[in-house]
Amino acid sequence: MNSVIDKHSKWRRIDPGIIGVIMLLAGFGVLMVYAASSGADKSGNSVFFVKRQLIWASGGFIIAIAIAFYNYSRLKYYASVIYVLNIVFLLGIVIFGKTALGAQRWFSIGIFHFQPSEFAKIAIIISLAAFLANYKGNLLDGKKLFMSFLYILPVLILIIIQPDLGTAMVILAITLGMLIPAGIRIKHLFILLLIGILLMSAVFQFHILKDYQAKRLMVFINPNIDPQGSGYNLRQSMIAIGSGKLTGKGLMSGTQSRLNFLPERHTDFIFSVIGEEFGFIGGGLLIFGFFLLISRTLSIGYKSRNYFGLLLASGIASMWFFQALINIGMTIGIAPITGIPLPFISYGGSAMITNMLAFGILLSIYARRFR
Amino acid sequence: MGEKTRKGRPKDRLNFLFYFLLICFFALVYRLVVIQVLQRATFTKQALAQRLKDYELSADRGTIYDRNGVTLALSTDMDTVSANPYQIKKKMKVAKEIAPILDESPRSIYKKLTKKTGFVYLGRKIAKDKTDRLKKLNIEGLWFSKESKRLYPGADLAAHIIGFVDIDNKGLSGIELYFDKLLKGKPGWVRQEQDQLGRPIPGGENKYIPATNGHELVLTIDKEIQYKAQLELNNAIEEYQAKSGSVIVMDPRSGEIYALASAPNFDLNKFSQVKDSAVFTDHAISDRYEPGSTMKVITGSAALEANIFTPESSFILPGEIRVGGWPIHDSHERGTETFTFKSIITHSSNIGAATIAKKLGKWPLYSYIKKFGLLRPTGIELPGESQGYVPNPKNWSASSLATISFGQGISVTPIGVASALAAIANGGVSVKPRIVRQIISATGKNVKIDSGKSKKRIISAKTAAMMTNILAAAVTEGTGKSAQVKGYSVAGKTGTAQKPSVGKSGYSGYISSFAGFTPVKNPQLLILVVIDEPKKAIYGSVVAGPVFSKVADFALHRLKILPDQPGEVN
Repeated sequence: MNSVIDKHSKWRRIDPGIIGVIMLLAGFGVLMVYAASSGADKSGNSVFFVKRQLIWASGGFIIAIAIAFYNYSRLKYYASVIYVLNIVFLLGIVIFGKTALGAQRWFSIGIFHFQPSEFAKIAIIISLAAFLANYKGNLLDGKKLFMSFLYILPVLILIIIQPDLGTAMVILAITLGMLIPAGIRIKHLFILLLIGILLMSAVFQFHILKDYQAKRLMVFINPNIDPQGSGYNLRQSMIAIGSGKLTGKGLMSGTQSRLNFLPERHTDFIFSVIGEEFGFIGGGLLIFGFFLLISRTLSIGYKSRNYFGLLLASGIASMWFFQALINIGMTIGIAPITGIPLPFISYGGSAMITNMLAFGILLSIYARRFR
Repeated sequence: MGEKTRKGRPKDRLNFLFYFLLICFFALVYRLVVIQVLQRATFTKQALAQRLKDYELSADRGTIYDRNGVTLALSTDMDTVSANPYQIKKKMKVAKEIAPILDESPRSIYKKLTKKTGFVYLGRKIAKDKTDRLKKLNIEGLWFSKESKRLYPGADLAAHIIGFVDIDNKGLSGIELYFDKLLKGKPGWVRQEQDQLGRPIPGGENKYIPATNGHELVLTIDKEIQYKAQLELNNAIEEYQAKSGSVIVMDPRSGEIYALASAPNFDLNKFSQVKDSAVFTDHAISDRYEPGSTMKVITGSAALEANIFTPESSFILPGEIRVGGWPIHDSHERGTETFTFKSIITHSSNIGAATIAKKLGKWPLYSYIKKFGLLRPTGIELPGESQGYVPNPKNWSASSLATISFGQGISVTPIGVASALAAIANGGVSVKPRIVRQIISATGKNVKIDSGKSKKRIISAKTAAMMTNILAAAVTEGTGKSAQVKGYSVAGKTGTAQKPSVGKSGYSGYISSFAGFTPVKNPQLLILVVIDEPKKAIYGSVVAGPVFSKVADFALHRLKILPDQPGEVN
């Protein structure tokens, strides 16, 4: 404590590590969206997707910097408002939303498709952090745990009935990732996992899933069931990544993606393009990039001056961790195909803005880490 | 802000999250190592396999001509329509639209369109106006291509010889089957790099090996003679209400077959509509029958060659003899008469033949039957040839020698008999029957074929000449008068054999035949007529002789063979 000035120096309020990692990830994402989508648009407009992705990434980045100047702790007082707004939007989507692939997920505002379930992720992180902060890291009794679940339940239900199974899984992962630092007991953790397993079996048993969802899960278990149908995506993804070998085929030279064998390659399967064009080295480096991002996020939580910030960071880390793990995992056949985007990389405006909002909150936590 | 954070525990728990992260990401990297390093060869191969496609380029099937270059079988391009069921959207609607054009029920089309495959044929080798109508519908997922279809301009002409092919142009019978490998040629292929929708990639890998078209075949068949042979055969079958029959017309010097008719017949272009597949049988090469009196030519030749008798040797023959307890008669009842060796054959005396054979002995007779090639396939280049049969002399019964001498108790094929007779017409030298004159490769080169030079002497020229004279007499003054041709001398022998009943002992029905050649001094045409189970008459002289006469008359003029008895020409 030699100098208060030192402690509060403007430069020490900035975390160059996470800024650098996110700039690299988002920049690389824009490049890969270009590589994956050029020629994908039927009008032949090869920059249609990358232009939009670039706008969202840079716009989001500016928003994140702006949030850094805002004291995140105040969010706690708006938690209830955020919670209610979240539910209103999700209700709106169920009632008025656009249908795509058998699910209602979008609002259209002009040419932009607004996807509330993406924003629901950051909304639930903020409101749940505020909710759990009241327990002050002491979640010892089952009643408090039950209340926490009751708290997220309306959001979860609204997302499941869209149906958007992927986002619902992310919400659960976020919840779990926040319950752990909130002090959940090991015993309760195991009980929760058991309930989860039972629920999954029930979902299969009673045909709660839509046909395509059940098929995707079955295909995850055995990709050779239906090589032309649901297994097709996974098979093509594995071929793309496997044939990328150690060093890849080079940017814009992936035959699997250039020749249209790879489906949804600028969104859910963008990692397959990366694996094909940059090989193991590229794929491995990207995974390392996510490792840096998430461990840095956890470390910001560690440094947070209050418990609310710790919970926020923990929720954000869990969100990114779960999404990266499941998205990359599905392209290489170790996770079910669920349509979860790869943070900062996959094409998509709502997801990009959501991730940038989270990034802004992290900057704010870091900047205010000193008491 | 004002609230307190409990230090230790929540932060330890963040460490737990960190280690969990570490483990999971290690799993991801490990999986990448497996896929991108350990299994890279497998996936690289799969990536190549799905973007490199090999397409077969079909070769044109060779044309088949008659000896004068008249086309007997040719290939022509027809339209074929196929579909990729995955690309067809409103399957029921599409099925209803295209079914009437393809003359099929919407249900059967719908069934094809719902198959879990990327390729189904909807209509193969269909008329162009149909594909034009289909193209106008502009349905996504329908594909049009050309397929080669075999056409037979002669319809039922030489149907058994030419044969036919299946929908994939694979030979199923006749020449089409026997020479399938030569006719079909060698398909070429294109290897092309393509995208997921099968569109070729500019600048991608591209390999091209052109197809080698099939060989063309020139047969020894003469279309006109073939037509005449079929016509006269059918007329005789109709007139005598016979079951089936065959006519063989050949050049005894070279073995070249001018015509090979088999009845009943069928239209090659409609072979798939044939109800009774028995019509596909080529009776000329696959039937086995008892030759009857025609056999006396072999018995006689053997005896002359063995120098036991001369044509003038004299015999006193009773009206009936008993051999091994069985009575033997001639075909017409008579008392004891004096015969010469010659008149035994010209008047077709069974008792005479048995008497000659008794002197000759069973082993020599057997050896001549074999030498004349009656017990093995002639080797004609057609599928399905049978061979004759006679028991080994060791197992002959007491009556066998006698009955075999006049053609009962031995079975032969028509082509075998024609070939044996050709040896006599040819001065004692055998020839192999030939159906193919020339094989021409796609590049126009002549492919060497067996020219039938493997000639083998069977009997001396002197014996052959003596037998020829006897057979000429059989036509001028003996049983073969009905086979005479105006302006030409003919040598020949009738045959009338009883058919063993199937499934029980004894005989039922007859086989009537006439085998002969002309002109006698310089035989250039040999014809065998076999009629199976004629009902209105049974004698070879009545049923088969006139067929010989009419076909020979036509063929002799067609081949511009000069008459040798001009005095008799009108």
